[in-house]
Amino acid sequence: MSTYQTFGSQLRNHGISRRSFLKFCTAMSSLLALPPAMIPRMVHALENSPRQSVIWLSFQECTGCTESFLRAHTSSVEELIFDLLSLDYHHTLQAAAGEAAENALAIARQTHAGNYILIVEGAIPLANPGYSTIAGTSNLDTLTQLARDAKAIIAVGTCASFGGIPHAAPNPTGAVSVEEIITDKPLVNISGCPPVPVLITGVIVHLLTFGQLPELDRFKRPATFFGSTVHKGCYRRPFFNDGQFAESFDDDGAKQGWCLFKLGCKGIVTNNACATVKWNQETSFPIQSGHGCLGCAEPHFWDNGSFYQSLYASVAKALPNLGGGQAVDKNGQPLLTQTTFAGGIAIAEGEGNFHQVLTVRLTNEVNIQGSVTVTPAHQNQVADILVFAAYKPLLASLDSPPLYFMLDSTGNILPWNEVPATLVPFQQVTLNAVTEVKMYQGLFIATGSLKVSFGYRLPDGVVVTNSKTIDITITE
Amino acid sequence: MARLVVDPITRIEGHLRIEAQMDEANKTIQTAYSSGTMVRGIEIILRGRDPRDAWAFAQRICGVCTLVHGMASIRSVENALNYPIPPNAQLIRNLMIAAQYVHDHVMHFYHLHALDWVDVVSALKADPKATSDLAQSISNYPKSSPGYFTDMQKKLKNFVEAGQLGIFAQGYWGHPAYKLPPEANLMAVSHYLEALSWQREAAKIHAIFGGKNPHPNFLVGGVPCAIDFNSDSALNEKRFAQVQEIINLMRDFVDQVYVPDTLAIAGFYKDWASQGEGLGNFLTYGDFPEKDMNDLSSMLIPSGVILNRDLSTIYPVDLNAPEQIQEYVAHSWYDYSVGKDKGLHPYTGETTFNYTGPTPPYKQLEVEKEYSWLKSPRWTSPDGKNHAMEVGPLARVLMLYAKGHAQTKELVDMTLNKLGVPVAALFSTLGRTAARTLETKIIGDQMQRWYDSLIANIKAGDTKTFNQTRWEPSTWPAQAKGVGYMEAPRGALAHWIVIENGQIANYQAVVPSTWNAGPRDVEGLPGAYEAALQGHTLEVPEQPIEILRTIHSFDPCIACAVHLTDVTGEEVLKVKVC
Repeated sequence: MSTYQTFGSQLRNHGISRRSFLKFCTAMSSLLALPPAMIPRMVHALENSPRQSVIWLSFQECTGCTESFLRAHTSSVEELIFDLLSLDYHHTLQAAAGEAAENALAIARQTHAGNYILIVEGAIPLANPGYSTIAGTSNLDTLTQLARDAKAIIAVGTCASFGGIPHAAPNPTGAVSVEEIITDKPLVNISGCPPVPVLITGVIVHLLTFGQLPELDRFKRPATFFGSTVHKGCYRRPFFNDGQFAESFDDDGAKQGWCLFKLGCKGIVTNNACATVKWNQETSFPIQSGHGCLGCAEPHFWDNGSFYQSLYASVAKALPNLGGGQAVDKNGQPLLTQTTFAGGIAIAEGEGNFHQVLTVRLTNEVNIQGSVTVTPAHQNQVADILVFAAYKPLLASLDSPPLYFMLDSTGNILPWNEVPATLVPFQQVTLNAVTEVKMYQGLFIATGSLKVSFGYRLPDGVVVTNSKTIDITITE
Repeated sequence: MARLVVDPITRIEGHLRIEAQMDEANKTIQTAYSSGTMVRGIEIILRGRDPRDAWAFAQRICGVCTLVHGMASIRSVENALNYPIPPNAQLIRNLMIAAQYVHDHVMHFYHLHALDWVDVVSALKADPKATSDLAQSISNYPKSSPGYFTDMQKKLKNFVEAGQLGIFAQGYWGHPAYKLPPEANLMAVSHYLEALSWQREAAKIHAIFGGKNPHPNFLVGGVPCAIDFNSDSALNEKRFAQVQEIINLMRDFVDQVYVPDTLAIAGFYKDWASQGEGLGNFLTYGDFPEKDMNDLSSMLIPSGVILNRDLSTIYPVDLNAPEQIQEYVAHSWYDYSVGKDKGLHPYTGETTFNYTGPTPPYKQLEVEKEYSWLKSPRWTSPDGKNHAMEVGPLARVLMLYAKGHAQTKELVDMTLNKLGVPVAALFSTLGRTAARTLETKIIGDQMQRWYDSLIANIKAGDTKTFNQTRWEPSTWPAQAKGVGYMEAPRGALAHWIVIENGQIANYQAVVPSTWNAGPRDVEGLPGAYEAALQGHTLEVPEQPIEILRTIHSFDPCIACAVHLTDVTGEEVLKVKVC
C-alpha cells in the first residue's frame, strides 16, 4: 500500500491548494453534521490515505444511480474518481471490457482484500439465476463472492436498498435488496431513485475519515440525510400551514408556489434531503419545479398508490378525521406519535356516508372503516392491526365501567382485559403510508353504546391507536 | 473455430454480451451474436396502474437516456386519450429532449466511446506545446495553451505513477490499433476531463424544468413547471436567463470541442469508414414537432424507412399498422402462445419469461437456440418482406440528408470533404460516430429557436403549461389505446398503451437498442450489431478492441432494450379481478 500516493499528495500534485482542500473538508463536515472539532481528523485521514479501492457492481438497474454519481460536485466526480477513490471496477466508466474487465476486478479484489468498498447498484433477482448475469455468473453469486472481502457495502439507490422498481408488484423476477442477501457486513442504504449525489459522496468521506459507517436510521440509511421529511425542509411548507394549496399544475396557486399536497406530493411521508441539499448544484428539486415528491427514497414507494392522489384525499374522501393518535411502548409508557387517524361508521342502505358519531338499529347493516396515516418511522414494518371497543349496555348507569372487547383475525368478538400486550391481531400487514382498516361489515348483535378503537402494534411492542373513538349507539 | 466472448461489454448502459465465431486463420469474425443478459419485467409491473403514473415507471427503464421513456410514456397516454398539450409545454419538451441529446451524445463520445480510439498512456509522451498548436489549429476553444496541456499531462502522470489506475486499469493501452499521435491523445484525454465537468452544467436544464437530473419529472397533459415572470417560485425571468446561459454553454462545447475533436480523431481512422455498418436498412419515427405530435410535417426529424442504402426511396412508417412492426422471439428467452415462430404487433404482443439458457456460471451461450433477453423487432415492407433495421443517429442523419435538410447537407458534405471520403463512407462505424456528432450540432442549434419561441409566447401573454381538460379519469373512454413515439438519442422509440377503465391493460415498449442489439429472428436474419460485426478482423483477438469500436458506435443501452414482458389474455383478466 505504501507505494500508492495519498489523497493529500495527489491534491498537492494537482495544484489544489491546502486552503481549498480545507474548504472541502469544512463543507463535508457541515453536510455530515459533524462538530467542527472533527474537521482536523477528516483532513488528517484524507491526506494520509491511499486512494480508496471501490468495486462498483451493477445488477438489475437503469444506471440512473451512476448518472447521479456523475453529477457529484461536492466533491466533483473528477476529484472522486481521480483523486479520492480508485474506481477499480465500474461497467459504465472503466476502459477495460470482457476478460480484461474481469481481470481488473480480480486484481482489485486480491490486492485490497478486506479493504475495498463494495458499492451495489440495482436489485438481485432470485427467481432464476438466468434473469441477470455478468460474464456468465449470476448476480447472486457475484454479490456473495465480492461481499466476502469487502470492508463495507454501500447499497446505492432504492433498488439495491429496498428492491426498488424490479421489486414493485408483482415482482416478476423475485428481485430483492442487498440487505436481504448479505447480513454479516457493515452496510448502508443510500436510497432514492436515484439518490442525491452528495449523499453518496458524504457517506464515502465519512467512511474514509472514521473507518466506519455513519449513524443509520431503521432502514440503515444515514440518519444525517434521512432523519427528516422532505416536507419539513420544504420552502413551500408555510403555504401548507396556511392551507394554501395549488389545485392544478398551472393555476395561480401553482404560479405562486403554493403547497402541492393536493396534487399528490408525498413529501410529508418521505424522509430525504432533497428539499435542503437540492439537486444539480442546488439548481432545484422536484417540488421547486412544480411536481410533487414521488417519495422515491421510501421502501416500496412504487406500490404506495398513485403519485397524483393526495394523501389527504384517500383519508378524507369518505372518512371523518379522528385526529392524532396515541402511542404507548411495550411497558405502557406514553410516546409521542405523528400517526393520524380517520374512520367512521356508515349504514349500508342509508346515504353511505361515514360518521364519527351515529345511532343505528339492530336491523341496519353497517360498515365500519378506518384509515391510518402512518408516521414515516413506522412505515414498512410488519405490524398487527388491532381493533377493540368499549361497550356498555343501553340501560347501564352512567358511571358503570365499560366492558372491553376485541376482534380476532376471523372476526370473532373476544373479551379483552385492557392490557395492550394481550390484544390479539385482527390482521397482520406491512404498514403503508396510508393503511386502510376495514373493521366490520354486518349487523350488530346487541343494543348498547360502543366506542370503537383501532390501530397497530409494531414488532417492538409499541401500540398506536386513535385517541378520538368512533361512537355508536345501537337501538332496537 | 473458436468462440470469442466479450462479457461484460463495458462503457455502455446495461448488460451486454457479444459472442463471435472466429475464423482463426484470418482472425476474422464469421458470425456474431448479441445477448442482453438482464431482465426486470417493467411492463408486467405497469399493468393495472394509473396511466398518468406510467411515465415514472417507464422512465426507470433507463437512467442514462433518463428522459426518453418518460416522454414516450406521456405521449402514449396523450395519444390514447386524444389529449392536446399547450404550445409552451411542447416547446419545453423539445428543449428537454434536445438537452438530453447534447448531454448524452457528448458524454457518449468522451466517456463511453473515446477510449476505443484514444490511448491514455500515450498521452504521457505528448509535447504540450505541440498539443497546444494542434488544439489551436482546429478550434478557438479557450483552454488550449501550452500551460493548460502541461497541467493536464502532469495530472495524468501523477495519476498513472500513483500506481492505482482505477477506471483505466487493464485497458488495451499500446494496442497496435491505436493510431493517434501522443498530442492528439493528450488533447482528447484533457477534453474527457473537461466534458466530465461540462455535463454537470448541461444537466441543469432538466433540473430547471423537471426538478432533477437524472430522472426529471413529467406530466401527462403538459409540463409540471408553471410560468410566471414575476413569481419567485415559478419559471421566472431569472430562471429563463439561466436556461439561456446553459444553452450557450452547451452549444459552445459542441462547436468548439466535440465537432472539431470528432473530425480530428476521425482523420486518423479512415479505415473505419468502410466497415462496421452491416444491415443497410434505416428507420426513423420522427420528432421535434413545432406545435404538437399530430403536426407531422413540422417535425425537425422526419420519419421513414431506407432500405439497402438507397437514399432515393423513403418508405412511410405506420406505428398503428399491425402488419408493419412485429416482434419475434425465436432466439429470445420468451414464449408466445401463438408459437415461437410468429411475430406480434405491440398492441397485441405477449411475452412470458422462459429462460432456456445455460445455468450460470456458464462459458458460452447456445446460439442456435435462444440466447438473449432482447426480442427481435422487424419492419415489414409493402412486398411482405421482413427487415431488421438500424435506428439512431446514422438513420436520422441519412433521413435528413435524403430529404434535403439544408444544414445536414452542409455539415455532412463538410465532413466528407475534410476527411476526403465518399458519401458511401457514411455506412460505417466511423459514419455512425460522425453522424452522432453532426446531429448534436443540428439539434443544439435548434434549442435557441425553441427558446426564443417560448419567450415570445410568454411575452405575448401565454403562460399556459398544462391542459386540465382530460386529467380526470372520469373524462376518459372506457377503452382507449395509443402509441407514444420519439427519436431518442439512441434511435426510434415507441411505447404502446392499452387503457381499460382508467387502468393500464397492456403496455409495450420497443426501444432503439432492441432494434439494434436484438438477436436473430425466426428467418435467421441477424440484428444490427450482429450484422455490423461480421467480417471484422481482430488484430489481437485476445484484446478485441475492434468489437468495442463498432458496438460502441451504436451507443448500446441494454436496460432499455430488455424490459419486455407483457400480457397474455389470461393475465389481463387476473389484473381486472384484483
